[in-house]
Amino acid sequence: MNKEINLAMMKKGQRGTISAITGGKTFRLKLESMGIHPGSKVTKVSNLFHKGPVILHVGGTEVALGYNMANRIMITIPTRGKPS
Amino acid sequence: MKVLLIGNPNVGKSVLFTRLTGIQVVASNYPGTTVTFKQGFLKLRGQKSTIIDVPGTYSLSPTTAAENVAVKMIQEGDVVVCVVDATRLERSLILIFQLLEMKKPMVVALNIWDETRHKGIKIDIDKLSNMLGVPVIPTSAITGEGVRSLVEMIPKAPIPDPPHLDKSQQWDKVGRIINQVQKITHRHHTFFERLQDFSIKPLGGMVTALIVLSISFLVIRFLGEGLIGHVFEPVFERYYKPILVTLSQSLGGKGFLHEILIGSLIQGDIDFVQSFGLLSTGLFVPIGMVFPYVLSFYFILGILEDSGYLPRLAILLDVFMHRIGLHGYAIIPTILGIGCNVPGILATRILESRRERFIACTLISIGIPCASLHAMIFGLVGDRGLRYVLIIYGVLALVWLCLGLIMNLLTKGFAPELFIEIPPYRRPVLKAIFKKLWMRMNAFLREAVPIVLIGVLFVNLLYSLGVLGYVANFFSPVVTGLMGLPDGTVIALVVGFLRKDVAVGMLAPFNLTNQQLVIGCVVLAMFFPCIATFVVMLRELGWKDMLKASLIMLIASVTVGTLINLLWP
Repeated sequence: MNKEINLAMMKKGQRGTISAITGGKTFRLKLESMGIHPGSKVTKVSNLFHKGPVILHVGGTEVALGYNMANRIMITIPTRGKPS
Repeated sequence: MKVLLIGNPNVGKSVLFTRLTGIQVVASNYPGTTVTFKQGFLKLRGQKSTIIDVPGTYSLSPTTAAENVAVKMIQEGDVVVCVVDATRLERSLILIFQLLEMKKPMVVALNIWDETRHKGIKIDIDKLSNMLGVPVIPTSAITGEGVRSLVEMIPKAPIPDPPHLDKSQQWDKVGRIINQVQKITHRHHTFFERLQDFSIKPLGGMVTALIVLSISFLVIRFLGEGLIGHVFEPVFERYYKPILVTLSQSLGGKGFLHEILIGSLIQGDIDFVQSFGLLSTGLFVPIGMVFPYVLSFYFILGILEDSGYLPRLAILLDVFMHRIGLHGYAIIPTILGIGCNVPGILATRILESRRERFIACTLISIGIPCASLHAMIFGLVGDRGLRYVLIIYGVLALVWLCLGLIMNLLTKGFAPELFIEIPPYRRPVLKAIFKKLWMRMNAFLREAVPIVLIGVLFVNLLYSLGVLGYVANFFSPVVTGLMGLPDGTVIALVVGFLRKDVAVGMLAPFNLTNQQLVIGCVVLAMFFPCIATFVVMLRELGWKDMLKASLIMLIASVTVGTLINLLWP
């Protein structure tokens, strides 16, 4: 069983796979150009308080993005066993 | 032949450009150092070719102004050199695919190759080249490794013929390439990686920021004051002054020429700050007072830039910066503005929207004093007590904050969210730091000194022509009535349009009270930007927004000047 949460809700150090991104075409293109697209594997690094930027590890680099952007990125988290 | 250097931001295009053309350009360790294209020349097979350093882009579907520039330029190029960070290969592949589809002769430069070794990354070059269908050359622009092979390959670059892939096929191919070509051996975390984690965590980030910023400030001040006190002032006093004294005597100690060259004698002696002649104050202000601070500021800035710390500061300040209508990355143009407003304003191009750029430019030009101004404020006001320096900076910080809050409320729209790639920390290479410092100092001496001299000459001519009285009278209701300054200081405000350091220097002979000096410095800092900043801002914002910004400056500086005058205890 897998569960689905958004990127902003992920815990530090948690891993998962992006399942969906909601938003306009420009928004998705912008994310995609940095390797953030459905299917990419991400690790949440940290987030700053007061709904500050969320930092994640994706595509071999670290990326920081705004809290509201993170809210629109859905992640599938494997609940059991090691993440693939 | 036109050769384009294209790649993601922060992959070392500018360093490679310098290697290829010998033209020095500023390079740093954060995305967005190059916001306009630069071009230089290189002989390829005896033929003069143009090399163009294109601003970094993540894709060919542009989302920022800088990326727009990149896309336009590709159509005009003959050969594409796609520069890739070998330690972040995955990130670059989509851009490579998009470039391949343009069907221009192309070579991939796998840059920062030297770092793959100690990062435990192994890349199979031949396989990568096979899978992409274009040659791949490992390079290290900083050391020069592989650059020669790259140069030899450019004229032989083949025209790629890639199969058309849709989005999901592209990502599949990215996965395949990474799986087959790249091997990462696990190893212990390096010191830099631990620091990397620490400095983007909320608490660790604040601790890091506090430490980094206070050390920077202390070192800048220590170096700046040290250079002035132990090198520049003694040299001017001991070796230069006797020459001036001789000249002054041979001119008879007064007269038109004496006024212009030496200025007026203060109690029978030449005073480097107050005499106000071309050869006395005109040279001492830029070289003896401002240059040491500019030097120490840019030395520290260079280290900060190359270490990769600045984007982390941007992330930390993001929430706060949103309050003033900007996002965290706007802190980078702001910090550049502390050195000189001109590069600061240019760097606002890394911000996405017009609204943000307007707010950032206006805030920089009003609330951020440049290094020249800092030097003069410390030099002149510092003698009256550190308290007054602190008041000036406190007021300016408050103005910056309040104006930001107000503009955020009154300007339509909202700040886009922060979205950046965080560069790895890198140990700054001392040679690169000094090279950058040298370029910036050269530019300062070439651009600042002549304008200071023009400013001093201008003032002296106006004095001798007696025009100043009229100007002073005209503005005295505002300057004297509201802000409590002697009406002669109007001239300093006028000269502030040429250069701020000269303008602050002009306050010296007025024997101002502490209160007046503080008001004078604050108003000068906020009032119209110097001409260089003005021109750049006009170009970046257009005359409509520039008019708006100027109006804000005028209103804000008079209001703040008046308020300090009224509220002074």
